[in-house]
Amino acid sequence: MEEKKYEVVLKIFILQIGAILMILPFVWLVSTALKSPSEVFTQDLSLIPAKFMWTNFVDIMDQAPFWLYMANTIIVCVGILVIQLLLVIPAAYAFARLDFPGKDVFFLLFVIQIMLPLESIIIPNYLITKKLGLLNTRTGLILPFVASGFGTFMLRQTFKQIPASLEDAALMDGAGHIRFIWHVIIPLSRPTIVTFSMISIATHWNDYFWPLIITDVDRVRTLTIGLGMFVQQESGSDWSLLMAATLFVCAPIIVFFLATQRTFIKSFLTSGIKG
Amino acid sequence: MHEKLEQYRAYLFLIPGLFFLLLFTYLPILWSTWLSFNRWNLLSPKPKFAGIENFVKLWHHDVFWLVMKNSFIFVTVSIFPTMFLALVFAILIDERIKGRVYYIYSLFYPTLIPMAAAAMLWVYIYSPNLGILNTILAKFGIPKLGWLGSSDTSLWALIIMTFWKNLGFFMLIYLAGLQNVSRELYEAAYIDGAGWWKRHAMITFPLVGPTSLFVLVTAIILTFRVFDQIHLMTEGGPGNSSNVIVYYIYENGFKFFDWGRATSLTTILVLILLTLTLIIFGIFGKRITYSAD
Amino acid sequence: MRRKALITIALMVFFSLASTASAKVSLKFFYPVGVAGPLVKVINGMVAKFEKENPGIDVEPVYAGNYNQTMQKVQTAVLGGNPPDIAVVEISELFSLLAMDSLIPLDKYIEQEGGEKFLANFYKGFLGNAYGRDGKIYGFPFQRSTPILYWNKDMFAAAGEKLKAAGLDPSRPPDNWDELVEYAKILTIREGNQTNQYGLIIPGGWNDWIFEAFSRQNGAQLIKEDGLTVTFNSPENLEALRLWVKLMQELKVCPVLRPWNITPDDFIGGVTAMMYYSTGGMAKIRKTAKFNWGAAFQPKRKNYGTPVGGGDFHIFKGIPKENQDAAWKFAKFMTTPEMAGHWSIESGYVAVNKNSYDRADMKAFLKKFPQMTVARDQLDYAYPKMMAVNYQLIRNAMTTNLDAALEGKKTPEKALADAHKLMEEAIKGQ
Repeated sequence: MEEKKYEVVLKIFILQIGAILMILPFVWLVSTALKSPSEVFTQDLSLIPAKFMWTNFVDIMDQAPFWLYMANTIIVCVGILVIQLLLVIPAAYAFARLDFPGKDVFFLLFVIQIMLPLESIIIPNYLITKKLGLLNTRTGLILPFVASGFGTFMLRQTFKQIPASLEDAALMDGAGHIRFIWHVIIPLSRPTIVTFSMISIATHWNDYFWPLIITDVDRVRTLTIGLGMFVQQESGSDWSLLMAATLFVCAPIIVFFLATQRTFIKSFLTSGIKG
Repeated sequence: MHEKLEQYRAYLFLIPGLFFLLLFTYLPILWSTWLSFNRWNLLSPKPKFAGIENFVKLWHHDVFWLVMKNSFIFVTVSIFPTMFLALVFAILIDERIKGRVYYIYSLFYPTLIPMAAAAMLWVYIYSPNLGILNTILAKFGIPKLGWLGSSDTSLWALIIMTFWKNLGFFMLIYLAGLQNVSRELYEAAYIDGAGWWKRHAMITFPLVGPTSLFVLVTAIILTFRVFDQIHLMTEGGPGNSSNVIVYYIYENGFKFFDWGRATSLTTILVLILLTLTLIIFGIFGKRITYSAD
Repeated sequence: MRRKALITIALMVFFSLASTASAKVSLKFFYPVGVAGPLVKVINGMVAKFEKENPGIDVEPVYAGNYNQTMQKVQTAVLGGNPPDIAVVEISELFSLLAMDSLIPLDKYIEQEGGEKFLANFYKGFLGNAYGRDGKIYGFPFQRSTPILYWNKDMFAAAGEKLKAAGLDPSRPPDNWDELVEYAKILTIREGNQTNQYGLIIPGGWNDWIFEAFSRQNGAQLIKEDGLTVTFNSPENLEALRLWVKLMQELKVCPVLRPWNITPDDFIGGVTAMMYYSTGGMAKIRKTAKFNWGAAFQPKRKNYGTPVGGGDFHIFKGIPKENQDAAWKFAKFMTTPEMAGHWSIESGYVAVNKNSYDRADMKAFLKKFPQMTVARDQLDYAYPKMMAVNYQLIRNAMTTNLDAALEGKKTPEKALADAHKLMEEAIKGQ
């Protein structure tokens, strides 16, 4: 199949425009993060700062304990992922390969959860978390997210594709379900599990609404909340510092994905998310 | 006998997940629905049964209808352009080999960063005098707009920003879906003389149907849940022009402490989401179970 | 399996480390930073000094966001049975806090300090928002302000010829509403359909506060002192709102609804010649403005007038008596002449303690920055800020309707009437 020359040029042109428009905000972010506060107040478009204020990144630490926030965010994300996997893998396995009465009904319960994200039921979740005494705790930040309908759905799909012959072989070897899951299912579903893990971490790294509602002390504050408070001061923000803080909050996740990009893109494209 | 044991074993696998599902999804919904029939606010500090009073008051409340309108606009206006452009870009990227990672990343990175961070960035971009948007527009002779500070443009400013944030995510999903479309089909169509648009309209579009469904459902949920950007960029204003349902629920619960109203709004939202679920599963149910098998 | 166990153990260790008990009195102190800048650092510094002088007391300052967020956090904490020990919230929230029966009266402590003589150290204008309906005192001023008029002296000088031709003096800012309009008209520079320089910015966001100022300047008010009688819709307030609409819609010398926290940026960036803003913005302007600027009383109508603003200390019920005593000690410490002066210099708020202004460091500072005295002097014309139960709801009613009028979506008459109705409903508990 041959592409006409003008077709190629047009396609690349559109792609480039798209890429540039999407990247421009980020370039502006980095540029402002490195400017000095007074430089921000001109009405000219200057992309290169007059002086590279690397100290901005140090200054933001003065204003809020961003390292503490990062530690909290990491703890919460890891906590969520670990418990999610502990819950979702067995459930998906049961739905994929076992038979039991009410199977469809239970599966429906999991799937419907996808349509009922935490934000839509934030009020009652808040009341329940309060009743359980989990306000202002990292546990409270973790638990409401661990039952992932999305994860169950994704993994069930993948688990279903593992050939029955492997299961028969394992049974003949006398392996129970758990051994089978650990030694066969999980290794064979690695791409999907990896994809799910990355989606989970990316999602919960960015949680804002829930931590906003249930925390108000620095001790358990997460990065996104710390950033949000930075800007909502009554009188004007220091834009260069704010952009530096924003960059600080974005950097880990971008670095993480850049570092694992080959794994990520490969596993995403082969994880069978075709709908 | 062995069968029965197997079945109970299956329940064991389910119970942990089911426990949290009930605790943090279904139980809260039931409790909230009960509360929505109670009066409970700052001046009435203990819930008191009040029948459908909350719903009647909402029906007569201007702001409620404005919020519903805004939410509806937000959802419908965001979804279709995003899906369309996501598919187009996915196709374009799929057809290129060189520079693929660069294109993927430049479109996808906004999805990675926290919505809170994106909100900060865009508050700055939309800033009437310091932000690049107005500065660039001025160079084209367009007068400076109020963006977040004007009730005419606040909702649109949020929609644009949300589009920027989500485009890459849907593009990536479509890209994954495209991997399953056989090249030979394109070859055949090319040989038949079909141009680029025709090829994709007739082949790609129908074949990514299941993916489109997934994207549609995800997109609907994503847009119904918007909160972070509202909270950080406009607080629903000015004059509730950018107030959408989840933010409105938050306002009533945590700003005005009217829990009766907040829970009744929650009930309405849950009903909407469940209805959407029914519709989607009803129309496309077979496709879902088919593709899920 | 082992990896997961390790992670679980690590998590448990983290959780337990986070909840170490201490033997001293431990105070949780919620506060908003109502103004920009590294004031969290200043607060932490003041807290550290207090802890050094009071080794038996630990204070955990919790920066809770802006005024809205802090009040929400406090309310949530109180309603959840877990109140802070001491908090600073925006002064208009007092009646809401009292309606929740969440505060202790401070009369006993004040008696111990010397009663009336002690109170005489503090500006009367700031004490107005501290009393409940029962006449007891429930708040103690900490970060207090008034709106003031900032003006860009260089821009005034640049427009000197035009101003003089109109009979106006370029070396001083407008002194009354009519002059405000005239100055703003001349100081607005347009090029085609771009406005390169606005004469004036009246910001949105806390425009209810600024509106209260205009109301006072016209001899009226928004709600009576009892917090129950709404007087929002009155001829004087209508005149004020009509003035705003004229400035923004008709004359276009003022942008419509410029967000509150961007307005100082606009002033510093040379976008406007004048702005109404809290004195609390002064620190930022002082540090970053590269031009000559001044501060002045807000122009009068019938008289100079302004509400006060800012936040007071409140000590909560439901905490041990020793915590309450410690909290009072802390409040007293933060409002000594030295500490109040320090806080004022760093933040731009007015020092709540009169004696702060007799100190050498303050005098030297004011010599360099006389603009800082404006808000304090305006106190002679200051009234307590409006207070009411359910203040958040009331404020929402006011700002949404003011916004609608300023954008030209509602007539001023309708906006005032609608807001008035909503405010009355909110007070009645509808």
